[in-house]
Amino acid sequence: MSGNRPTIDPRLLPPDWSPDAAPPRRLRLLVLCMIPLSLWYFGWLLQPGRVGVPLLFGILVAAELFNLFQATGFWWTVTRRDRRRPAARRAASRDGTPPLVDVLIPTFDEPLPVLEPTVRAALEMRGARLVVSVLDDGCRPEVASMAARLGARYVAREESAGAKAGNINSALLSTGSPYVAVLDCDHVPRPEFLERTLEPMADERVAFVQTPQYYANSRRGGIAAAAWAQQALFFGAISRGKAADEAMFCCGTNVLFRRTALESVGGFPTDSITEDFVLSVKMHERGWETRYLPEVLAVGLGPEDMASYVGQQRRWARGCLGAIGRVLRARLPLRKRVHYLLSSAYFLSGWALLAYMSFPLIRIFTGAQPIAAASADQFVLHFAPYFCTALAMVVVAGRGTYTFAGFALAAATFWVQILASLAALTRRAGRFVVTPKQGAGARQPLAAAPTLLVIAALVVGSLWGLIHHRSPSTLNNVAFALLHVTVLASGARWALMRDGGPEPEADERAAEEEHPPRRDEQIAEAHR
Amino acid sequence: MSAGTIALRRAAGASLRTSRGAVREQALVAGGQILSGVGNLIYAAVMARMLTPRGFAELAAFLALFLLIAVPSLSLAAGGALDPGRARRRRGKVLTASIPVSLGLAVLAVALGPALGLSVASALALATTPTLVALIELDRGRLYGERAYGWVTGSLVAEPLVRLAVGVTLAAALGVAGGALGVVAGGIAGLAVARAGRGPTGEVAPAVPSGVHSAKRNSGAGRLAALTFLFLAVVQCQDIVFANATLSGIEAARFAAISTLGGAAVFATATIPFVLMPRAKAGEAGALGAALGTAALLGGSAALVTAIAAEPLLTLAFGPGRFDAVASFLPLYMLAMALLGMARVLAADAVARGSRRVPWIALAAGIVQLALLFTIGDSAEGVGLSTLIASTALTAGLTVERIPVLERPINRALEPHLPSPARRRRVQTALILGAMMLVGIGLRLLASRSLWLDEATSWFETQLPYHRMWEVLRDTDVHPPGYFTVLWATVRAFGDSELALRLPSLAAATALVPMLYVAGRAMYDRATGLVAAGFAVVAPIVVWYSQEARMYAQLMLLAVVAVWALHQALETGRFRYWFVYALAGAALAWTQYFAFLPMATFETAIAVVAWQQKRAGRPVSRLVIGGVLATLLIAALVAPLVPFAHHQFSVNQAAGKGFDAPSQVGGTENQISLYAAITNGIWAVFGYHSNATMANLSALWPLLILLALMLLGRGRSRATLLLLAGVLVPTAMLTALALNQPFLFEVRYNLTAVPFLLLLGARAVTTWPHTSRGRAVLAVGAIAAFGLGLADQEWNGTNPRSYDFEGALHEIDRRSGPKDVLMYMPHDLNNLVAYYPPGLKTRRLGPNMPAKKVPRVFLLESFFEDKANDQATRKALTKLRGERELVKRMKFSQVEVWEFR
Repeated sequence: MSGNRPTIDPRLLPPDWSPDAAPPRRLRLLVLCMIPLSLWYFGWLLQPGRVGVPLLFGILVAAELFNLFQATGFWWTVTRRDRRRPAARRAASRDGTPPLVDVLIPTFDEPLPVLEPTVRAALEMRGARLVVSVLDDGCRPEVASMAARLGARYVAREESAGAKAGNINSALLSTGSPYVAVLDCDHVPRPEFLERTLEPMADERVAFVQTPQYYANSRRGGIAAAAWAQQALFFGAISRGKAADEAMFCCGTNVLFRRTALESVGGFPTDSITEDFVLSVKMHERGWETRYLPEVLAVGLGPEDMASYVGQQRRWARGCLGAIGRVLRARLPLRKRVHYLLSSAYFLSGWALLAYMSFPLIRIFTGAQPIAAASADQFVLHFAPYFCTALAMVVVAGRGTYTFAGFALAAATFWVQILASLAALTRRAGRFVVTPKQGAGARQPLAAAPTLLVIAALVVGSLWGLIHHRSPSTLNNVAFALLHVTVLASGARWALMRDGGPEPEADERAAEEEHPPRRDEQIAEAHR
Repeated sequence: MSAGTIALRRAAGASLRTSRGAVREQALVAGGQILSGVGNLIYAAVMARMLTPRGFAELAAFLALFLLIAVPSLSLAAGGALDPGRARRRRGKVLTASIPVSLGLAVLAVALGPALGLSVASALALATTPTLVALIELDRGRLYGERAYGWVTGSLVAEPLVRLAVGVTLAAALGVAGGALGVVAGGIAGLAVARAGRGPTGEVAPAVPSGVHSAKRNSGAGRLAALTFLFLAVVQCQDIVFANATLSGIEAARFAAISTLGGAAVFATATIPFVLMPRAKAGEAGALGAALGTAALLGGSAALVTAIAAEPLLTLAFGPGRFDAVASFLPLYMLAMALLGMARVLAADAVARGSRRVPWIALAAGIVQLALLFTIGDSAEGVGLSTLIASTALTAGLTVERIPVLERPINRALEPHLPSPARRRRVQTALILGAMMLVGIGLRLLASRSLWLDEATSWFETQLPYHRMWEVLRDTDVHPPGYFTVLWATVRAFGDSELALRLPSLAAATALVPMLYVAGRAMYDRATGLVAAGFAVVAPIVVWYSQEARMYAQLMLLAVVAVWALHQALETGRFRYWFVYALAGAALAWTQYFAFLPMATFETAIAVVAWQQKRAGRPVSRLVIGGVLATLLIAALVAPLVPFAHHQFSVNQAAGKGFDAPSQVGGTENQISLYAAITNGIWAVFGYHSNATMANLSALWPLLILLALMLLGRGRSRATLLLLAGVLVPTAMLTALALNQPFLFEVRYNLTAVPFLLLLGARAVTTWPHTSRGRAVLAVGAIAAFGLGLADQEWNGTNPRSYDFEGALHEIDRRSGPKDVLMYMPHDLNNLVAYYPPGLKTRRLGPNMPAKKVPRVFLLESFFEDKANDQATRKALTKLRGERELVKRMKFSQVEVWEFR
């Protein structure tokens, strides 16, 4: 590809993902299988005779039980069905005039090419009388000029206290529409965004309507695609399940709020770096209902390099883990509380992974192992059906969108979750960091340094083991180490590649776009 | 009704009309040809009664030579059928070329006559033949091209009628010379009718634009057709020439008897290709089917009749008791002739389509046949078998030539602007596959080993006459007779050396390489096909079973053919793929009973796809019709096997064995366990290894977790699901069966899964990495892993499946004298001991030891894990030690020998 050839903004292309519901019968059938298979495995594992080194066994059991808790929560969530009828297609205003909506687009330092399509598309949304405000915490003249040129309000604060939450709260004070739409500056809304999200607002109890966050740059492959694989599972099966239990929480963008709901909880909380999560808890405590609309109504950009992804994950992990206490204290129905806990506790998975990765090294170097008195085929006989069916559940629930790359990327950032949980435990304050919308275009080994260190340790341990004891049991542990090395390396490889490793095939596809259509044609196509 | 539907119905209607028209034409001309044959037969019968025996022998020689000259002239008919205009224009040139030949023969008549067993008068009559038959075939070819089938039939019938009328009259007056002149007169009558004939519209309008290109193309096609049929004539005739020239009188006569009846069969189908050619040239659908059907019907009927009543036929034709000895072989030769008839049809179709490969395929078949004749043609059966193999190869080659994936643009005039990279790629692919096959053959030959127990049983069974082998299989074996029939023919052709015994397996495993390419390319893409083919070259278990005189290599090959054809049938709905699927499926069943596992899976897959299509609102009728017809065809083809299998099972049950455990199942200890499952998985992918290696490889099972994780988010195409089903469902069914019969839990009975695994592996290699470098590294890595597995399997002496009986018996042979005795344990080694004869007396180990006067006693033991056998051996050793002195204890792979004196 020639370096200077103009490329299409992927956000202007129609999304290639639709959060359709997974086949419910298949899911229920799998859950039915999972129950006896889980009992089969844990019944075998938790026998006293299995205890090898007690400490290690305890760690293994804790990790396995944590995974079972997460898995059970996942199965439970994805089999929930929203049986409410779809909202009537009527405008939220009673007198027939289109309602007033404030569209807030917070920004800090994102470049204009990222911001401008969002503002332009926001101004073209149908179904409401709009006031589009660009909330620029970066106080950039070029942003002001762009907003003026396009016909949007430009709002800048003198100080940027409270980061994104503070920025929105500040804008809420200077606006007065009954509905407030929040769009991250990289999320280009489709014209029908408000038409569709206003429909559920006809129910006065609804505080907000959340829609999926689709990463348009996932088409290019690389880290964005892997991150999208994780998002697709969340905004597909998981969010549908949460919505069925009235437990969908706000995800910070592509969301339409009722102003009164926001005001009832005092606006976005500024003491959390996952302000959207805590805001949702507060709203649910106040008896508000929330809705999830499984339609891609805005198209954004995912992280394009390792540092961006790590930063995003660190913020989410720190915020969600920090909110566990808040969730436990919240006056919420049990069902909602469990949903919040499941989402928060997901970020403890890094500890379980650390345990799994440690076991082969401990076995190779010390001979100690968590399980005793069990042959490998006994273990596999009990574990394999449970594991394979659990994977099948992910495949079916995610309709095949959850990929190995997504899994590997999550695994490769296990250390982020560990650090975040330590920070949450020690109550170290987190810092809101805006996720960069464009790749750094450079290798970022530091962003994956802990992962690379673990890989090195596993490789060295394996070699040491192979040199010293070439027995089947050593080989078995070397194979486990190799499994972890492959997963971690697959997830961390993007840190060692420029541009987060866009795939050659994606470049080939882009080559077909050598003569891109005019921008207005792209927009028309995107909105068709 | 949509316009598309109307167009489809019109096309279907046109196709149906074409088929009916083609069948009518074929029936008309074939009827004329059969009448002509009957007329010739009557003529011969009348002459036999009119002439003295010596005179009739002379006339028979004359007729044989007449036919011998006529057969190559058929190439002129082929050329004329494709280019009737050229046939008209060429008459002068043909005359110019043939008259000198006739004159030469006439001049040499005096000298040639005695040499050919002819009188001078007959030799002079024969001299007219080159000109006469050339002109006849030229004009008949023109009539075929002009679709003047009534005139063709008239010419065919006129010839024997006049021959009979004139010949009988002249023979009465002039004797043999009169009979010969009658033959010439018949030829002239045939020529006169053909010459007078004209097509309804003159030359048939070609299906492509006329003009200079068209004329050149027609001319080229005519030459191509002539060349092709010339080579086909060589395949048809060179066996009789060879037999006459090289065999002893009796053997030559036996072959002449076979050949005469076979010649009648091929004579009946001779006109079919020429009737087909104009329609094939015009691209009419259904014409090939009609021609093939007619050829199969005539040839198949002839083979069937001879199979049912070979002896009565031979008696009828040649008198009682003269050639009864060849009765058992006659059906096989008739099958060869039937195949040749079908090959001629396929060749005609290909030539008419403009394929330039066909003459070379025919030439190659002729060369193969000649090579075989020189190798195994030392008896009537050997000569016949050469022709059978050559005609099978020819038919197979011409069928493969029609496979779309291998088709290259067949008519340059039609597609002059084919991009050269595509051509280059085809050549590249062919070269790569050729190289792979060569490497594959090399590896398989390099990895040779001693025959083992089952192979020795195969050898023993093929030493029997065919009917006896059939009975032995039915009464004592547990396998269907398909593979053993092939092996029996191979042994007749090539002897019973280790290489010859393993030749069918070697050939099948080598063919697996290109077949995996074809399947991989059709189901996925070229890269997948090439990688899968590469895997097949080095995959340890494929190499292992290509070096075993058992049916497993064929099983793998047929499984790939079946899955490929099924996939193509499901994707395209074309009936030819359903046909191939049915044939491959039936062949699988005839090869190994466990083939019912993948076949049941495939049949279920057809039902599932039909159900899915119906649910999606897509048309399903074609799929259902194709699937049902294929299933019925499989059922029809497998039905004759059912009584055989039932008898086999009953006899075995009655003997208290049932389908008992085979004598060797490897290291799974006949138990269903996870370890056994993992072991089977390793065998399927990495081959057979020592117990220590297997323990180490089994310990790597955590990598399966990695594999499962890597499958997340992968696509699930129909091809992938089909292959996965072909692996998993038979495995599950076999496991269920093994709950009752644990010995069934073994990779050998699920070998059809191996090539499917190779295809899936190739797909993973070519799609999982995101860069071409990654793909290359992974492919090379996988091949290297296979290579390591292969090296360990073949050359590490600790492989528990490797039994060095050959080494042990040769060593005994070297050390023993004629009065020495060899005792062996277990008793099943009897066939091996017979195959590698140690040059001394042999006997099964029993309670009695050899008498003291026997100078040396050798005791050979194998299969040590059988405790009863081992105890018996220990007991015998104790006895022998008490009576004799232990001279030497020799250890070979899985075999131990003690020498006493």
